Amino acid sequence: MEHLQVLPIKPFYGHRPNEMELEKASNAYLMSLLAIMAGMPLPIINLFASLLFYMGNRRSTWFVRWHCTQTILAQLTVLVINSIGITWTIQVFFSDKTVTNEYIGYIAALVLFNLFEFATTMYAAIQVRKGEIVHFWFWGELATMICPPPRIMPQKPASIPPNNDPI
Amino acid sequence: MSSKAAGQFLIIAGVFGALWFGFSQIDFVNFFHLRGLSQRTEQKIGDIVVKAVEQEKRPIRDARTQKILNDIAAKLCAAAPVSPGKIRIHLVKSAEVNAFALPGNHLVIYTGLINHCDSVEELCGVMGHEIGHIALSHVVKRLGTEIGVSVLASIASGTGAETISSVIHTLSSRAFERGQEADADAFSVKTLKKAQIDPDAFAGFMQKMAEMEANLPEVLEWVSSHPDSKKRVAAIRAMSLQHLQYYKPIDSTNWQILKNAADDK
Repeated sequence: MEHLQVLPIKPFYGHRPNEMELEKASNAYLMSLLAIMAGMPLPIINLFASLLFYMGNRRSTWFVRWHCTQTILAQLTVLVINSIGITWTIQVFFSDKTVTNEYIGYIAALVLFNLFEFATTMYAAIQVRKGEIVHFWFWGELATMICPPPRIMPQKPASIPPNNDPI
Repeated sequence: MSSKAAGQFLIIAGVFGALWFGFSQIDFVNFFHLRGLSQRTEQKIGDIVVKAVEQEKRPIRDARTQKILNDIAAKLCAAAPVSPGKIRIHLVKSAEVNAFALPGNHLVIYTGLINHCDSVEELCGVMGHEIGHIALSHVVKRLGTEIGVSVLASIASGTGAETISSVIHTLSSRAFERGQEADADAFSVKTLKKAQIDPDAFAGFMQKMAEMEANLPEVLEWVSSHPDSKKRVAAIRAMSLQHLQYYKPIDSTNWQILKNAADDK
């Protein structure tokens, strides 16, 4: 008999997401990955894709919105770094600026940052789909500040059964 | 922003900054030969292009005239500062009012320009402007952008006959970018002031040429390749406001020798 593996879904800020939420949250990351590939030379395209996905899910549950916010914030950072790189490149090719070690150094750092962002986004998409929560450094903190978790009613701690095991 | 988020932001920014700084320490420019043309190649291209100009227009090879022009250039270079003897002046016979800088620190002056200058200060203004293009590396940058470094390098290897005329056309009859022209104007005014040569004459020359352009468009190449005359005259005048004690860079006898050489049929 075939067995379905039921993955343990960890609670996130006290919220236990259902399958639908996990899929939508994972799609938020996938969306930005697809947009990165489609809009490679223009970093604004991936931000737009993430924004559109967020708008489409703004009435969704807090869990989905939180992940969309985290994706947008990460994209926004990449947008700023890539825009500086593109402006600098245009100046080098079409203006009187020349290729310097600082310029190449910036482009190398930019490429590494983009690769890192791409890898973490892919990792997040997979992990979130599995029910593991990926809380990015800085962007995760910001996402929680922008999209705070709903107030959770404090629950009575379950009574602990007396330990009658012999010592 | 919470202190935790701020701390994390600083760490991420710090890592990015460290990566940038680290990569910048690697000498990619020399490793990949990205510095454009080497000084030697630039010099070679300049020599070949000057030869082509002098084949097209008759060069004036009078030692006295050359010395006067060199003296003016030396005064401007000393004030610029550009190393003395760096600029090589070539006077060629042509009715066109024109002067242009070439790679390898060559400066070509047409006799038509001297004919239309009422004073040596006017000539100094134009020379200062062209020296500015050389000192600010506008010439090589522009040729690199418009013609391409590899194509330019073909001149030096003796296989770019067509490129030579394209270089001459680009540099003699088309303007640099607006910002570069403004920078060359500012360079000229600054140099003239430092050399104690009246910079207002440069503005006066540009204004005079702009007014004459309507009647003699075919000979005023320098003006048509240097647009926005009115704005530039105003900018030069604004930079020349501070009145100093000015002197003639050469005496009237030498100026007359220059005028006669330019006027010589």
